[in-house]
Amino acid sequence: MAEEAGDSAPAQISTSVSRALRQASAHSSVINIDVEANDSGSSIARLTIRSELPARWRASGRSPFGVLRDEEVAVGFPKRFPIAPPTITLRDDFPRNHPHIQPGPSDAPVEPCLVLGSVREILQARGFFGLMEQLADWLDKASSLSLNDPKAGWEPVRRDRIDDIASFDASKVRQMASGKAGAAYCSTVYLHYAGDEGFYKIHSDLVPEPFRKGQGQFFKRTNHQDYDTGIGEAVIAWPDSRFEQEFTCDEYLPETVTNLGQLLGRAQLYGCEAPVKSKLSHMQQVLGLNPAPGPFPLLVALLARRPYPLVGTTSPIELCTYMIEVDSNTKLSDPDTSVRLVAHRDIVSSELLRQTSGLAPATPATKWTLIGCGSVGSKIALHTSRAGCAPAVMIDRSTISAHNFARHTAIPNSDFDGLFFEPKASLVRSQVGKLAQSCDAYRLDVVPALEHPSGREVVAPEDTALVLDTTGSLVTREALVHTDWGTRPRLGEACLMGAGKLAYLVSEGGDGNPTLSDLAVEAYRTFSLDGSLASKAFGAEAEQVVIGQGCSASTFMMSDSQLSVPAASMASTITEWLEGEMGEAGQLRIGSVGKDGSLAWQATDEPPWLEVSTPDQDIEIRMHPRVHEAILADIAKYPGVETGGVLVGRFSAIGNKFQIVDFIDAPPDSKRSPTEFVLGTEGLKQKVEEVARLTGGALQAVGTWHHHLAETGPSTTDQVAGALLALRQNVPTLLLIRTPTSYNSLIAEALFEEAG
Amino acid sequence: MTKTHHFKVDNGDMTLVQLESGRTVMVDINIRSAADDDGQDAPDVAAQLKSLLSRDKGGRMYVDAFLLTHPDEDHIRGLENHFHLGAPGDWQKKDDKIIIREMWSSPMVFRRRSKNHTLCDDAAAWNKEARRRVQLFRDNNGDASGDRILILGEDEGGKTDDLTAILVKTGTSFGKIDGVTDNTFSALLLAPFPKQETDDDESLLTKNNSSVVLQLTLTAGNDSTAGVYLFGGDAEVGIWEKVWSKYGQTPSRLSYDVLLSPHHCSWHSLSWDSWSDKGKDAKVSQDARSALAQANDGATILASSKAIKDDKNDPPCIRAKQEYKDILAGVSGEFRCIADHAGDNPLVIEMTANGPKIERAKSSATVAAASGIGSEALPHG
Repeated sequence: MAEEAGDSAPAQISTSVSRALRQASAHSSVINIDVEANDSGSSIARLTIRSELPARWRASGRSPFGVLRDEEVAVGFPKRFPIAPPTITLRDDFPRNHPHIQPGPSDAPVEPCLVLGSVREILQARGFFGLMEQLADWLDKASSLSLNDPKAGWEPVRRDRIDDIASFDASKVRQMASGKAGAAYCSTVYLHYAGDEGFYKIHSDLVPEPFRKGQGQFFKRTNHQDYDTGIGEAVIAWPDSRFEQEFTCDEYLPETVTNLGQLLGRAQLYGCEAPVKSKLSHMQQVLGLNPAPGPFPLLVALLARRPYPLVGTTSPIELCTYMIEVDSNTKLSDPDTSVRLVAHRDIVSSELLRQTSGLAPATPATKWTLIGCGSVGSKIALHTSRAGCAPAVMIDRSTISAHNFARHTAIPNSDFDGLFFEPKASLVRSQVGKLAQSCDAYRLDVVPALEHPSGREVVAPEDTALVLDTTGSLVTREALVHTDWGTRPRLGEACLMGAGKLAYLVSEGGDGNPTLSDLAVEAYRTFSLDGSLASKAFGAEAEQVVIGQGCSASTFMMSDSQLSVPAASMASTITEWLEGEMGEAGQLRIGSVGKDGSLAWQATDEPPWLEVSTPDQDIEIRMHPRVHEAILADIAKYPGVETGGVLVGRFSAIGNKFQIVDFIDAPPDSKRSPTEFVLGTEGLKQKVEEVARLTGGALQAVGTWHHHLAETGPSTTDQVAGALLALRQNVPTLLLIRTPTSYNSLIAEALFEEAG
Repeated sequence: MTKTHHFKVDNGDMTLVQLESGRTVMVDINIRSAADDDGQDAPDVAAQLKSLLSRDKGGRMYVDAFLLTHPDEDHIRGLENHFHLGAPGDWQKKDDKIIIREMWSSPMVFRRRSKNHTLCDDAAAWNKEARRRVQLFRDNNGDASGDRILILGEDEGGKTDDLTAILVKTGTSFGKIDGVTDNTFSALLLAPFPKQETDDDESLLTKNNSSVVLQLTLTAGNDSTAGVYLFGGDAEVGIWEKVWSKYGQTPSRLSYDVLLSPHHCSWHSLSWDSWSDKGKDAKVSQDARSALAQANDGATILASSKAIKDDKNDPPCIRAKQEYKDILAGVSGEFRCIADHAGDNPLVIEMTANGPKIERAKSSATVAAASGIGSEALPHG
């Protein structure tokens, strides 16, 4: 244990330092502390940290990787400690071949990199004791050369200096590491700043192209006032990546390359020496015949495959970039040719966005279409694009207006933006484009567009996996579902309901069953079962806004922050869907938005609905399986007689179909006999009205069902009953008949007749 | 990953060996409860142990083998509370006790209680369970996990003569665990000795001296001798002298990378003299010392005891510690008292490619921030 260092420290040591050292002395790895204060108010403590060594290394008192059993560590406390962090340094001759050492010149004291982040922050969070724990852990791992930790990721080669920088798409260059070991030429552009050493900023779009005879003439440098510009070249080399022949380099070495010989040594270590040599030799030959008119930078990027992904990435490919400044005297075969160290800077790419968002690499990305680029749609477009999952197609029929800027992702460019009638879809496309993803944008009303094959091709080009409707338009929903597509992608819908108090997100089941329309009917039923949902969905406020704004562009009064919560949450689920997590069942997600912005989802998997109409009928009948099961249960309950009940659902005028989602049991005064079922009336009217009341009229009692003991169709009695009902309601009426093995039905409807 | 976990149980032994194969061997237990005199502030070793154990398909926690070196309370305390005894089929979820797939027991279980052979309740329960398993074997019915037993050493009066298949004779090795050959360990049984070899001295018939002495060799990766352990229970000086006389010609059978010093670092394992009576004049038995001095390079000697103070206590005994440190000086080894290990967690040794390595005690920041309140009565005026 530590000796009494903190307590016996000289008076000039600050209380803060004394407190820190008292904590250090409590750490089991700290076995000695000496401290001295400087006149400047700073102080330095020398701590002896003991590491455990395995039995075979104990005799020498040090690990083969240069870590002593008892390491003296200097902790420099600045005058402003603890608001300014201490500096922690190891002895000058501590081996620098470990990862997680701060970059610095070889003659400077070695500074271990103890935390991913700020020493100052860890000091505040865990105290000086926490810092000692990090230090003890660092030395413990260094003793067995195991500072590279598969859980944290491979630490890239440490460079103690940087000469130039190069920007290119890291994900694109990593994709080159496939097949046999090889190398490719790519063109670059650069900025050059003159000076003692000079400084290059290089960029490449990474388009592989041959290095042809006469290529040197392009490397002309143009002088500007403060800098030069020109075209350069890059050689990108990778190791063997074929199955079972994959070349992996698991040796960590800090950067030591200063010349071509050493660069080729690294290339050998990474399994790509031969391709690099071949490219350089070829280039030398071409430039020998047609020399470049001026100097140019030759970027050399070696792709090293590591045993596990690099820190902060999902890829095990490390990019090691160098540069040779080529002029007429440069010999690309001379090992002494000097080499500069280039730092890589990534550029925005969908892969980078995916990686940062925690998604696995994907090529190609899932194709999907967004219909509606309003406030909800634009937000979903941006959230998914920031995760590298931008829609391939965006459609909206309207242009931006001034009030849209309260919630839309677009930002006005000038005071007059509202006057330019910019289509919303184009505005969002331009935002997505800045996130390095391309998509087609159309100003279009999808409802008429869906009537033509060319319009359907626009909405869902080949290979489209999902069409998401965010218009909040009931007509669009019905049109999408009831268009005769032939084959079509899966449909989804995301919108806010009830004046923004409900978030609604659904996806159809596999093969489009249940449909968006079925799911909406099911949602109405769900609302009706929960008073708070029902009041949000069908309450006075929701009604009022709908009436006030018209039914297609219902605009709720709500702030951007209120809208963003459900929009972001829906985008998160949509991203999961796009990542292949849709499943076979339909999905119905209803989010209840609290006044404080909180959001509570209830999500259910929805089973496929049954199609119970007969082929000769114009009007389709779709039924939720719960109704089918209830009918069978009621029949089983009354064997040998006809029984029946009331069907609840709606009639879709666009789809020309009944959607039966629920049922009402026959009233107690109903009569059942082998030849007839008479639906009673006791309490039934109230129940029928309640269905309509609880769902704002979205659901109704749309007909009845009854049982036939034999395989027979509608009887005369049924036809009379149908006619009676038809005269009493303004939509078609359904008399569904369950026979022993199937369904029959009678649909009666009274149409408008001109008076007289 | 091959590891040994040495729990902080004061003067007592409790070790869990995790083999490379994933199987586990429990060596002794001393699980005190709050009801015990010194159990109040003891680390919750039962919870620590359980956090290391796997569960079988039936959701039952288990150890593959349990070696009881000898039936003293500080080596078997907590058996009934924490381990399932009886037919495995009687295991109850609500109790969630640990199944012992195979018992490794000394033949002491066949001895009757007497004035010289008293047993605590846990030891009696161990005996009862061992006899149940032996009976199943005799009935040709004991070949299932939870019913298996190995008897380590022959007993007096031919009581173990019919147990050939489950008997390990002293001086022989075995590599089976719970009925399966496991290539990631081998165990060499060095003691107890058959009674005819010890019957000239009544003192060698005590519980301590019936202790199992076992050299356990552990594999890690490709290294089949990554860690060599010597367990000796509470064997006293006479046994160690006898061990030396028997194996002194082949000292590799006594070699170790890790020695769990016998009887919690007791002087009585190294000397016939009393430390408290004779102090510095107490003499070391050279033969016993030799038996305990076959340390490999960089070896570790552990004292599973209370902190060792410079006083007349025994065990643990400061003089024994000095002797062990002297043994280790020649091989650059280290002596560790488990009580000195930081924190409440067990001292863990991992077998590496370069021999056993003591895992650094991870220190939680709560140690530094810990309040001094509650550790003792604070008078307020």
